[in-house]
Amino acid sequence: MSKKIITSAKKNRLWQSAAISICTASALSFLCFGLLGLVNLANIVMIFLLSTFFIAISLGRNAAIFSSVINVAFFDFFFVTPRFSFSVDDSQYLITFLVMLLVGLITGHMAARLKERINDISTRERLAKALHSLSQGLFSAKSTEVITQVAKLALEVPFDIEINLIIDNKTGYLATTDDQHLVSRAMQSGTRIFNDQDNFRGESKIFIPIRSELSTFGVLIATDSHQSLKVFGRDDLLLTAANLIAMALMQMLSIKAQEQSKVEAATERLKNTILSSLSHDLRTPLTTMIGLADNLKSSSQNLDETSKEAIETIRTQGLRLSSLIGNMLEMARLQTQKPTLKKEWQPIEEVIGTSIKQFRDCFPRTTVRVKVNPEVPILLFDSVLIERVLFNLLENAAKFSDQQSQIQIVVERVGDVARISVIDDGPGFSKDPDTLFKMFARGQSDTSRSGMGLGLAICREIVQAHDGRIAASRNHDQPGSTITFELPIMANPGLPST
Amino acid sequence: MTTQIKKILVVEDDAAIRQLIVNIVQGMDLLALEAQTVEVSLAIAIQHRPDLVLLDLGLPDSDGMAFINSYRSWSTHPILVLSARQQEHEKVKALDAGADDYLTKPFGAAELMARIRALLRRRSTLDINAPKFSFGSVEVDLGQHRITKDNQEIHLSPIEYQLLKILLTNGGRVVTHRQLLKEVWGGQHAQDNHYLRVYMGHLRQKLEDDPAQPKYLITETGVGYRLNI
Repeated sequence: MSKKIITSAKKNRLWQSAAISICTASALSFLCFGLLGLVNLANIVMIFLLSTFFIAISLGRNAAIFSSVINVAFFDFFFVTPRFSFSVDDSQYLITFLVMLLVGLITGHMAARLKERINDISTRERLAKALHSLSQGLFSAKSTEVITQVAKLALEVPFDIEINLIIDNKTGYLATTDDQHLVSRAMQSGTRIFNDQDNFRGESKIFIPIRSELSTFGVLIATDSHQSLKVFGRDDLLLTAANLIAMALMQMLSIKAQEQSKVEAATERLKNTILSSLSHDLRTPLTTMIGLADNLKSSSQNLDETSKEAIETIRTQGLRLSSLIGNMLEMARLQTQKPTLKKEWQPIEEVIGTSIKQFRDCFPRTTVRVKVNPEVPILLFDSVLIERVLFNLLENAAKFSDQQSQIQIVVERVGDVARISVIDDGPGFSKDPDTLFKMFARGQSDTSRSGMGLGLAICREIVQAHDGRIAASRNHDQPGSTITFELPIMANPGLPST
Repeated sequence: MTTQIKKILVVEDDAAIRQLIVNIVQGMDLLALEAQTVEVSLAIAIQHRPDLVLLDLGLPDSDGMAFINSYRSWSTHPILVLSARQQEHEKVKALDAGADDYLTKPFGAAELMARIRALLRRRSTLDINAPKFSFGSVEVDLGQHRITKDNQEIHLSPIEYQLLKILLTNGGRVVTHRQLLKEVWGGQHAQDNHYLRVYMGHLRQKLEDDPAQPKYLITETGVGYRLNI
């Protein structure tokens, strides 16, 4: 339908130039006819050539061709003897005709080309300006809706096309199934897809992915209903436009991410402040209590045994309370902030030693034996957190067995993991060992012993954060139970020579 | 030479804890000065020149770190940080800023007394520059480069010897990982903490009775090492 309109318009223009050429030639012939006595034929040829030149400038190449042919015909008919006939007496005139025709055609062609050039340059300038206004508009755009608006506003009129943006699969554009297919192809391939001069509808369409180096945001669809998008290099300019839009989207996303992380950082700071002031406020009275008990114990010799024992109990219970507070705060930290691990290469013996030292303060009468297989290499872990795991396991073992009991820590290598077992000789668990690691679960349901069951839950949390496993079981060959956790053995960074 | 009574400045905002510390300090026949804020404690420090400052990090008017920074600009006398903050990086920050040692609350009286003694003694040993040390059954003669355990000579590699020497000259005071790495390996291995840990393990194997439960070469988790002496 539209194609027909175009061709008929073209035909009209053709008829028009033919008519103008004939009219001009007639008018010139008439004028020169009057001047025939005064002006010789060579100058009349010049006047005819001049008319071709003007027609070329004003009406273009086709009109110039018409004009040069008609001018030759009119010149021959009206001015070359015999007049009012196309026959020629002097064959010299054939050369005149040929030169006239050639000069007409060449000047016409060149003039028309010049005009087209000027036209082309001004169009391209307009398109460049459109791109410029697009980039300026995008600069302040803060949402995809605004970006779409800006793109339409800046490009549609100067490019004489229809623009559709499909960003994040949100579409304001009712795509046909064909188009949808092309959209997804453009998204996946990351290259533009050209659908030039559709045979049925006579339109030219291009699908340009809007993408940065890292990701594809969507597709820009440009449609021109009457000429190819390759005219004036618009396809390349549209690619630039798509890149500008991609940059604007990227900037928008990074600003959003920045704001998000600012909020997160503020929340994190608040949580940290609460946790550290809670830690301070809870520990301060305990410090006084433990310190006073300690001081009393060491400075007064004239106390009887019962009082000494009472003071010792105050001290150890205070220490246990302190460790409980530590567990609670650690759990809060682990759950609110994703465990921020400070993993470092180190031998496991190091934290075993420190956890036992800490444990002795609370349970002075329990003995701990350590057996580390020398095959176990240095491991990558957060020393503070693994120390907490070991301490909790020791405390757990001591709490649920007799005061004078013995605890063993065994470290061995099993394939590509280091297995650390804490073995006690207490009564063992009455419940299914696997439920132990749930928060607030305890091994014996009716026990009166202290502890919130938080310790083992924290252990699990920490071990899992190290890509390890933790499990409990009853001992086979002796009373008591074993809690085992595993840490992965990785290729270590090597050691310097001494 | 007259032995002057050593002065200890106790900077702590909680009255009960301050009283407790003052009691312990006085029990050691030392003179205790008291302050509750950074401002007051700096004024007292300038006036009385205490031999040791016991500093709580969480003070009402500003952070104890502010005290360390200001005090270190004109005094080299030791600072012992008392902190209820469990975060290890806080301790490392205080030590790197110029504090000499730290104690985490809650602490025992015996522990506090040991730290105070170590810090005061360190000042006097530095003056005398004694080359002989002993701990447990180990004897070290830095002058003769000789180490014995149960009267048996122990051979240490150069790096092990260096580590031991640094811990010895710091006399019971905690030395951070960074300080040790810098002194033994120089700047280029400041990130390679595992070097340090492995050599410390070797040192324990050679000097401790039970290397898995060391009595002298103590790890301060996340902070550094200390030689209990």
